Amino acid sequence: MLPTLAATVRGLAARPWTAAAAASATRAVVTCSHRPFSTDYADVAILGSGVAGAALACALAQAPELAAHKLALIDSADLTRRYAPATDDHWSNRVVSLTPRSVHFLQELGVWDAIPSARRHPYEHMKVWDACSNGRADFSAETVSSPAIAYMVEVPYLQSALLEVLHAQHADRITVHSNATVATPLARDDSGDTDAYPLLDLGSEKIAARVLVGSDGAQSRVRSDLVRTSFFGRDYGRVGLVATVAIDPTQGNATAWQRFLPTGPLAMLPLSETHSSLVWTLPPAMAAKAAALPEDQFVALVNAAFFYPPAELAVFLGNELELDIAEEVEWRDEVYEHGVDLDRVVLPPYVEAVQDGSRAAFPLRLRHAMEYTAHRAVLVGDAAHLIHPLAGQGLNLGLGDVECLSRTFRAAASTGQDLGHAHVLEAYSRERYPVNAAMLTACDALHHLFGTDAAPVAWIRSFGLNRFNQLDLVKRTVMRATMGEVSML
Amino acid sequence: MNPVRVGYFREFTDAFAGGIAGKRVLDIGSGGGLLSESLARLGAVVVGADAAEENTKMATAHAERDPVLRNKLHGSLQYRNVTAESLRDAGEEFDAVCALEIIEHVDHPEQFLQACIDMVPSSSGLVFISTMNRTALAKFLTVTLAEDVLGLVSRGTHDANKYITPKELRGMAYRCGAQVLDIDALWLNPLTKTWSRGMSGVSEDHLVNYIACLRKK
Repeated sequence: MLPTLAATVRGLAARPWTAAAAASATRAVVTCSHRPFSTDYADVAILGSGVAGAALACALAQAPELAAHKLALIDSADLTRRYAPATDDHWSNRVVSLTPRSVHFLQELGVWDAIPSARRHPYEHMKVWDACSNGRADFSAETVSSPAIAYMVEVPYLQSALLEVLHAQHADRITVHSNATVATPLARDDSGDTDAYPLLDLGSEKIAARVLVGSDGAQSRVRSDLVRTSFFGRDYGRVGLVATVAIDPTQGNATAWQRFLPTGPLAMLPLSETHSSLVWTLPPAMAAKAAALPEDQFVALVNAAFFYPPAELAVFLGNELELDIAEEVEWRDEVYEHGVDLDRVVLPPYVEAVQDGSRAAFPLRLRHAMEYTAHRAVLVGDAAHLIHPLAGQGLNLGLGDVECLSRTFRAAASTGQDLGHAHVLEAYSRERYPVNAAMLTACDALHHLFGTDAAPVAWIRSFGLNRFNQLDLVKRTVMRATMGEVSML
Repeated sequence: MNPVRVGYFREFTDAFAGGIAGKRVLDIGSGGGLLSESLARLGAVVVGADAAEENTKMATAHAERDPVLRNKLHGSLQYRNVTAESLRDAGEEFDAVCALEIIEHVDHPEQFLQACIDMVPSSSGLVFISTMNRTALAKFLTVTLAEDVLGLVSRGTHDANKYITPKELRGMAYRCGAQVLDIDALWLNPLTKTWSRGMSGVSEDHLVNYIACLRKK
């Protein structure tokens, strides 16, 4: 075979894919049987730079085992923009309750400290109670020797912190394709040049990926076009109504509150000493009505919703009567004050105002992909699963996926494996699928258990909840599971 | 099995030969190139040798479809249709030789082992051997179950009479001028179909699959 220097230079000078490839440029030995690679190339291409995709990018970019691997992150959004709220007192209505395990992972990525400390709020207590009975359960972080049950963070801040770390620390390790729209449907390379590598057509360039990670959310193209698996589950017939509220600051705000109403749970999650985030699971019509209420009415409604019997709330949220909710609540409060034993009543801080424009609703669904992987393609985060928000697990499961996939890729690279090999991807799926399935099932079961006001069910679950509240060992185990420290299996 | 074997190789080359990067490694019995590719990715300069020409052709074709490996072909990754003895006779030298899942197939294992050991330098050269133990259990698992019953491996792949016991391997190594640094067990989890290693308190004589690291004296 005659040496063909030109082919070497052309193939290698464009992009030194690996240190070894660059080193072999010094050797003038290559054969004429090489066809030049017609597209750009990445060992790992991450499609979708939401929290999961950006976290995976950080994790892979900082991994010493992957130093010689080519990484790419692609998103249609502008990834150079950073989140800046209108004022210091303005809070996004997109929030997440990060488990200690998720926080630990973000610390390892160097991302946790990139979030301003005023925008990370731990809560040490959680109180959960049933509107249809006297069932309740109280959780406390100190029972599991943790400084907090979870940490409330606004998603845009988390997003920005991830992108900032990527930009500041890993710019040389990963190619970020911002404002990039990928032609759909996605396809694999069928030229025979590669082992059917997934091909991303960005218009100005094409990228062939040894492995393509689908972190492209609920409407994942990687799932629909490449993994081609069913995304099975159900629609809950509910929406999550979110809002940012200003609360009475005199009682402290380090507790998460959740009241189970038959229409769905109402949660108040602390964001700071003065503000909290509301997540109210409601039928769409009721949510639409609540979202459209004038501020004073909405505030009165929310305060009532944490206290009043469900039947009265149904009247407020129904369409039969046009009520001035604020007046109704004021009248009722006077009546209740006389008959209420305040020691036995669980009450979150009083809501004083709702932040302008913060009310929004999103449909709630349960979905699980039947398969997480296919030939050189793998799903993480919402692309793989959607969950009811009642246990605050969705984004935490996604970060769990990312941590596992990162660890799997690193272990494979350390033994010289092809990262897109089925055995590598299956190792990830084998670890995450049962964990995710268990959590999805548990939250689904809770939704159904508390989603009825039928007396027998209410009695049983009340009895169960109260007994559960008394069983410290069981409670601690469940707490650890939801905090990500043990698997729910 | 490949990740476990490569992990073992890495561990011992890191400990006894100063790491894998830039080392010349012979993968004897390279087959489809699974091991050779892994070693090449980790920075070794690899010669994959196989007595069957269709294997070296297949391995080359496989590497050509990998955007990273194709650039190493004929440089830091080469496949040659030769035997260990002929390489040794031609004066080829390597920092390490891997003879994994091959010694149980050759007709004269001790001569084969001698050829491998001849090609590495004294006191630092490493030879890695993996094979099956000649026990009733090993025969049952690797031939009766794997070939005859479950059809995981094609019939006739293995002749259990040619399996080598760890004791025999130690004897051969001594006679060939090498010391056995380590023998470790390889286990297959039938449910997850993944391999792991570790003696787990089992004695050498009772192993089924095992891997060993030899160092030339």
